[in-house]
Amino acid sequence: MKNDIRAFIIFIVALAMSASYAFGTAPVYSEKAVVRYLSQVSSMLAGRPLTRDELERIKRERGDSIRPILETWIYDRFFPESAQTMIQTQLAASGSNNGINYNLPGNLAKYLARNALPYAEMLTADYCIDDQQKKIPCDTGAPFNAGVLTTRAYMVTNYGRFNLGRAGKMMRYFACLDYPMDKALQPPIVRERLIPMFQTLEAKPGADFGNGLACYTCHSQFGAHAQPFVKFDSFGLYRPEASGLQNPELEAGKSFDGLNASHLIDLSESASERSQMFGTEVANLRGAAVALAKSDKFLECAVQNSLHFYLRMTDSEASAIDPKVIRKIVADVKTTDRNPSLNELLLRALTHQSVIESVLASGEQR
Amino acid sequence: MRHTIFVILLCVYLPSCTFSGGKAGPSGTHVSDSAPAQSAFQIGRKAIQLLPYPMRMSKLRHVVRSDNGEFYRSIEERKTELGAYDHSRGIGQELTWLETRMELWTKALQPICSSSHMFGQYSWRDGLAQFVQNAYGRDLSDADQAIISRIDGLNATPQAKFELYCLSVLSSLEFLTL
Repeated sequence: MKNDIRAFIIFIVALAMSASYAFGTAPVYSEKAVVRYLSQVSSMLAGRPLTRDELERIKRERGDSIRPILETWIYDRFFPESAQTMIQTQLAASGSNNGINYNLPGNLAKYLARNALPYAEMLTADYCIDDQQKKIPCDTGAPFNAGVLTTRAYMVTNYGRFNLGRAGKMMRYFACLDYPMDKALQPPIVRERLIPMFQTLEAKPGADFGNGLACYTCHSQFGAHAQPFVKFDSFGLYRPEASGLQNPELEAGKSFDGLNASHLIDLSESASERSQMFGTEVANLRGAAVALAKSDKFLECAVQNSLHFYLRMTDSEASAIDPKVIRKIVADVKTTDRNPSLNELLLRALTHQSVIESVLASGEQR
Repeated sequence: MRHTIFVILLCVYLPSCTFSGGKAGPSGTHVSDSAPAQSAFQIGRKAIQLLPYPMRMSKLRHVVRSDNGEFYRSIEERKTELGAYDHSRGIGQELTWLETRMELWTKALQPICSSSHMFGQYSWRDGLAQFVQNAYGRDLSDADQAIISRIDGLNATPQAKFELYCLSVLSSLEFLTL
C-alpha cells in the first residue's frame, strides 16, 4: 500500500514536470532574481521601494509572488499618478498657460487608471477631467469629444501646417505607426482628390514643396488622418466655418485665421471633417478616434509605450521591442477583456515571461 | 555647505552611493538564475538616469512618512531645476544627474534631514535599518555599515550624525535612480 502511494506521488510529480516542460510553463526564479526584477519597477509603479512584507513574501513564494505584488502596485494609490506622468511626458503636455490647461490629457490618464477604466477611453471619452479629478466638458468647443484628442492641450502642442503635427502625433503615439504605413491598414486617398503638391509620385525638377520625393506615398494616408482636425485652429478651438482652403498669402499648409489647410482639392471635401481611419468611414475626429481605438494597433502601442515608460527604456530600445511579444501580450489580455484598462495591460506585460527575462538579462549586462 | 560637500564626497567615494545598475540584490550580490533568456528587448542604460520627479518625491515621502508640505517646500520651490517638467512653460523632463542639481537637491534635503521629526522617527543608530529599508527597500549592507561607522566616528551629536547619514542616503544614486 505504502509503495502504491509512493509510486502514485512519483507519477504525479513526473506528470507535472513533463507538463511544465511540454507546455513551457513559467520558469522558477530565485528569490534574488525576483527582488531584482521587482526593484526595477517598484519606484515607477508604487512610488517606493520594496517593503519588508513584500521581501518576506518574495522569500516565501519566489516567482509566484511577482504577479500579486505587481497587482497590488498597479491597483494602488500611486499608480494613477505614474500613469499621469507617463502621458504628460510622452505627450509633452502639462501645466497651464494663457488659459489653456495642459494637464487635461494627463488628468484623463490618471482618472482611467484610478478607476481601472478601458484605456481606449484615452481616445473615446466623451468628457475631460480637471485637476481635481472631476468630469468636465472638454475645452475645444467642438460638438463632440474624443478623449485627449479634443483637448486644447493636444491641439496647441501639436499644431502645424496641414495639421500634420496633430495627425502624426496621433498615429505615432496611439498606433506606434509612421508614414507610409501598410496600405491594407490605411487605404490611400486617390491622387485626383488631393491638392497638386501631394499628387507628386516622384522627384521632378522644380518640385515646389518639401523634398519633392514621392509626396503622394505618405500624404495620401496623412491626408486622411489630418482631415478630421481641419476645424481646429491654432488656439485649439473648434471653428465650424473652417474651409480647409489654402491661404494664398501664407506658406503652404496654412489656411485662414489660424486654421490649417486640407490635403483635399474639392471645396466640399476640404471643409468637411469626414474622412476614413484604417479603412472605416468616419464623420469627424470622434469617429476617427473610435476607429483607431478599436484597432489592435492601439492596444499594441499602449503596451509598447507603457513598457517604454515603466522600464525607462530609450526611444530606440522601446521601438525595438519584439512585436511578436507585444502581440502575444495583447492577445492574452483580450482573452479575458476585450477592452482592457492600462492597469490590466501593464500587469499582463510585466508578468509576461519574455519581459521578465529581458529585464533580468539587461540587468546582467549593465 | 560643509554638509553638502561632505555628502557629495561620501557619494563619490563610498560604494553604496554608487549606481548599482540593478545588479545589487538585497545583500549586494550579483544574481540571476532565471531560465535562459527569451529576450523581447534589451535595456542598455549607459548614462545615469534619475527617476522622474514625481517618483523621487513619492519615495521621499515614503521615507519621511509625513504629508506636511513644509518638509518638501524647499524642494517643490526648485522642482523644475531638479528635473521636473512644465511643458506649458517649455520645460521638459530632465533626468540627468548634474553636479548643480546634486548640490541643489542635497541642500533642499537639509530641512528634512535635520528635522526632529526625522530624528524622532529613526534616531541614531537603532532606526537606521528601518531607514535604509524605507529608502532602498533592502537590509543594511556591509557598505552601508561602513558609512555608518565612519559617521559614527565623527565628533558630533547623534542628531547631527543622523542628519549626515540621512543626507548621504537620500542623495545617493541608489535612492534617486532605482
